[in-house]
Amino acid sequence: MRKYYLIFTNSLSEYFAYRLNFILWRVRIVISILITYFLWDSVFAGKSEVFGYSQARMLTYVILITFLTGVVLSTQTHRVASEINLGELSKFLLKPVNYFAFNLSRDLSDKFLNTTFSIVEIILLVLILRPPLVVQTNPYWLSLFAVAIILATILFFEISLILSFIGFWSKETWAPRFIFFILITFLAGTYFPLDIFPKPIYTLLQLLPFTYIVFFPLKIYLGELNSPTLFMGLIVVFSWIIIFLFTINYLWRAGLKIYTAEGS
Amino acid sequence: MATISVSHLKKYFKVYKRSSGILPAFLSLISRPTETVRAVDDISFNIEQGELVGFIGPNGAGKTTTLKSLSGLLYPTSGEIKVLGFTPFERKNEFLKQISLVMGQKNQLWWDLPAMDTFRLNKEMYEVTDIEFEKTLKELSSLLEVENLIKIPTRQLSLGQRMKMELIAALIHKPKVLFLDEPTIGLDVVMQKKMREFIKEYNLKYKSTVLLTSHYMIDVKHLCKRVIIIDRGKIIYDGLLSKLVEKYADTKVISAEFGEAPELKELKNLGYLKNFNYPRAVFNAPKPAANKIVTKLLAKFQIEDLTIEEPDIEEIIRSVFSRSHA
Repeated sequence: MRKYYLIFTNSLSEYFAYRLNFILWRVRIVISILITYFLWDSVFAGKSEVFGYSQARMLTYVILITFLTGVVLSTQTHRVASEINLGELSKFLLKPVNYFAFNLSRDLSDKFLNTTFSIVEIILLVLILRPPLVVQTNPYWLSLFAVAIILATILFFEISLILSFIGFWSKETWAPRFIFFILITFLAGTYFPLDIFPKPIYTLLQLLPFTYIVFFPLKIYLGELNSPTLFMGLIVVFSWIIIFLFTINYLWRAGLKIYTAEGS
Repeated sequence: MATISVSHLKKYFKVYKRSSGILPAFLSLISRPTETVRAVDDISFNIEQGELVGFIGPNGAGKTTTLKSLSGLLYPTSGEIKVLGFTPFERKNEFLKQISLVMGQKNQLWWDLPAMDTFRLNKEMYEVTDIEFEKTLKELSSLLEVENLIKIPTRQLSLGQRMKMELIAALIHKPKVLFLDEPTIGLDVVMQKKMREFIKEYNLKYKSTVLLTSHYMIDVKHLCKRVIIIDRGKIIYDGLLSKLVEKYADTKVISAEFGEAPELKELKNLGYLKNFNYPRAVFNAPKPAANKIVTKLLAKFQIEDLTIEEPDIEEIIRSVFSRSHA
């Protein structure tokens, strides 16, 4: 186990070699949150409800996105694609280490840093802007929120890894990843809650994995899902996790067979 | 049982063909013709524990592909490989713990961190005990004279220093089988010599099996008793280096120093004159003719100094390749 702890700490130290990069990355996230925040703040000017959301619920949703981005969306798995293409994957394959556990450890360091920063940022934002907020205190919703975050994290980790495994077959891994991120922005709920979409679209979205990356956990935090929807959602996200698990396993085996360990 | 046994190993790659220019670049969007490259084409050999074998061949001969197949990175197209009784591609932990592959142009060190951080991680991965780790690290770093560099971030090290660190990282678990791909590439001569001495010492000290590729014949000459020569994916020689010299060196190099300048014409008459630059003339003659030339030289000219040598190892290898291409 200690090896994975060391991968975690080594990855953390790696970050500190690029402090400015990291700080600017955080600045970017804060700015994007501020834009969304002020956008919704002005939409609410003089209105008590928009798209069925009260101002407090909407602003809570927006601010919590920062937190979720830190926990769920921070990852280093995009590096896997270039590791495959540049033949750097070899150095992991040569060692008695599980590559998936390695990636998980590396991701945890990323998540640890980003989440810590996001919490500090949220506290500052709340102190400075003093927005009306919904504070969830019900342990039922809070524990479900935790579960949903863990599921979202696993789901996103899997998808990102699959996108990187394209590297086994093609050098061009950035285009699919780019498209995926566009989809995430619109379909996962990182800019607005998804239930402001018309009903048929929203129903369709609930069957896709994207919903469960951001929107689903946040909806749970707000305590706004009825039992059937909640239950249905958990089944869908579980199914996706299992499907992707098999996909990853299959792609990994097939990929290694054609892996050429290029670059030297 | 042999430590490494390879039988009828083949590894073919599919590569995309594309001629240069903008039009073919566009056409490649529609269809991309492929071509099969036979990187390794039916090779077999065995290596015993403790052997230090040189694997030589021109660029693209299939050396690195073989090493990668032996260490489990590549899935063989066909054929069987056993290393320490394991099938490399399965990459069992017990197998990986006993081998190491060092590639001169690849680094496993964490670029932004001091080498020590990589060493520590490797220690955990390979489950090396604290005492063992301290001992090996001390030994290796003093052998390579890098004790004071292990706390400096890798990116600040020079190429040679980095190569040494790579070696330590690869050897911290004292692998039984060591694959070295161009370990001396890019190093200056002094460093190359040190690296060679180190490899030899490691091989003797730990009785480990070492398979090494190098472009520098001097590496092979100093290190390996046995060589495997590979060209275009096929083995063209497998045996002792000394036997290779006996078998293929059918010429002798005679070099003579003259007391007074001889007539160039007379020298040419002796035959097989390679070059003449007063006071030295060099002949490269077939073995039977060599004696005659020496006798004539001594009889006709005033010779200050005379040596008869086997041709240079590089020369021999070159002739082996040119034969296989003929």
